Order: sequence, then C-alpha cells, then structure tokens
Amino acid sequence: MSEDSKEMAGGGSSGMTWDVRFSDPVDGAYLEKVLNAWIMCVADSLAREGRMMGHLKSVFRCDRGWISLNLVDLRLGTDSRRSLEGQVTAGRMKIMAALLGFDDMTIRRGIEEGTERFVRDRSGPLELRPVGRDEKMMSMEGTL
Amino acid sequence: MFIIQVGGFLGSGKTTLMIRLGKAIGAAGRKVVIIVNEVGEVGVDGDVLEANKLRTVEITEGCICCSLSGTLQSTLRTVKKELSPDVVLIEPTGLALPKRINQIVRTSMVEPEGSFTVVLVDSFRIGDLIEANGTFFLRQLEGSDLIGLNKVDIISDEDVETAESRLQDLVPGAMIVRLSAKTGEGVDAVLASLRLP
Repeated sequence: MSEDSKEMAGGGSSGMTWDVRFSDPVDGAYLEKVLNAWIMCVADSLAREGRMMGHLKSVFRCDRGWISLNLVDLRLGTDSRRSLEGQVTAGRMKIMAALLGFDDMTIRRGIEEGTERFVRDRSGPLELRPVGRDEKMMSMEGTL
Repeated sequence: MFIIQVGGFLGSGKTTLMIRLGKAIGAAGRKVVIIVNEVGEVGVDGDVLEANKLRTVEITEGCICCSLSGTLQSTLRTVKKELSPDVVLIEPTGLALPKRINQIVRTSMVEPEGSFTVVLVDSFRIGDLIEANGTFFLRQLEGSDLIGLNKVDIISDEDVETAESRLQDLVPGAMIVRLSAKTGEGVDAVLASLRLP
C-alpha cells in the first residue's frame, strides 16, 4: 500500500511507559484519582499545542489488577475502568496519544511536559521511572 | 475461521466493543483471538484486552493497512496455524482504512469462512470529525458492512437522530446500528448481524 493512512489523516502519535512506585500502599480509588490527575495534566499540555481531536489513552497494570483511563474530548473528561483489589505500591503505566493536526514530536513533548507538571504538583511521594527506550531519557521523582 | 474487523476513528470505542464482542462470542463456545494494532510503539489496547482475559496478539509501531500490511497477513497465517480460532477479531488503529484491511485479509491466504466489518462512528463528535477531515472520515466508512453509531448514551435522542441522518446522507443504504459499547446497548444487534457460522 503506497499511501500512509496516518499521513493521509494528518495525524501524529507517541507514547511512553513508566514503572510507578508509591512509598506507601494506595487503594484503587485513590490510585484512579492520581492517574486521572496525570492524564489531565498531559491533556492540558497537549491542548496548549492545538485542538485535541483524537484519543489520549492509558493503562496501569499491576499484580492486583488494572485501571484504564481514556480521554477523547476535554468536554467529557476522562472515562475510566477499573478492576483492582487491595492495596497497590507499584505497577506499570502506559500513556499513548494519537491526534489529528499534531506531529509525533509535539505529542511526545506534550506527554513529557504534562508528566513533569503532574509530578511537580503531586502532594504525596511517588517515583516514576521510564521504561524501555525512554529509560535513559527521562527520570523523575516527585516528593512534594 | 471467521474474521471480524472493528474499525473507526481514534477514540470511537473500538476496544470497548472488542471486549463486548470477544466475551460474548467466547461465552457462546467459540475460540476467539484478537489482533490489535497500535500506531505507536506503546501498546495500550493490547494490555486492556489482555486484562479482560481475551487472547490477544498485538502489532505495534505502524499501521496494518499500510506499512504493516505484510505483518498482518503473516500474523493471520500464524494465528490460524498455531491457535486455530473459530473467530478472529481485528482492531486496527484509529487512523487505518478498514477497506484496505479487508483487501489485505482477502489476499492473506487464510481463506476465512466469512468476514464482517463494523466501523464505529462517535456520535458525540461526528460534526467535529467531519469538520476536521471529512474526506478521511468518509474513507474510513468505506468497506463497512455495518456502521455502529456509538456513544448514544451520552447524547440526546434528538442529537442521535441528527447524527444518524447525517450518516444516511453520507453513506446511502448503509446498515446503521445505534450503539453504546460502554453500556451494552445495541451490542446484541451487532452480534446478530455478524451471522457467525
């Protein structure tokens, strides 16, 4: 197939993965609030670059279960699903966005900047460690 | 092996419908395998499908309707040979063209017993999508056997009527099902339309 559909649509995409660790165990409801705040920080960063027409999605997985959060329109906020039991101290978070009118690098920058702001604004101890190819490019700890 | 594709724009609810269809078809005693494609290197949908206990094969870092068309064909052959499913559900990226995927499946040498293509349209954003890139929006609807007008649970009845009328004008004669993949409304109608062997 000669035509690239992503180019045809005028869309871009990027994603990142982190290992997440809390200093104290947190329950599912609290974790969902934290992840929601993270996604909204990323959404705000992306929205500064242009109108968000696409999909910002994420999933957190750990040995106790999972939480997924999606945002397709800022007017609707996030849509979350959760199947998680007990207390959580660590897990893996993936965030991915694909948007019309954005290039890959702009989306990448929005995810990074939103994540940095989320960590800066956090009130509880939290450690994020990028995974895979992002490992050496970014490392942050929020302990405000 | 019967092949079902669930296409549609970014955020139209494809993964949510895949979970509904995968669980319902599996509960009816059929062996289901899902092939999910993510345009970037980070696969979120595959994790969500696996977390819902659905057998999932993930293809990332490209689009199965263009740069990874060969990967889709080889994955289909491998899935058929090694897993022998009754039904394969394909979820392309939200930037893929379902008609192209149908062509790629047809030339993949897996000889399916049948196939069906559902394309989802987000009823909440239909006007925005047409405004943003109407040409691409229309191209995504090509090749659909059924158009799922999704997210009808979050808009008014009047807006549902308007959205359906717009679709009927854009794709005359199309089979349109009002749907909420989130609540399950309309999913039975989609399942019935598949006419699985």
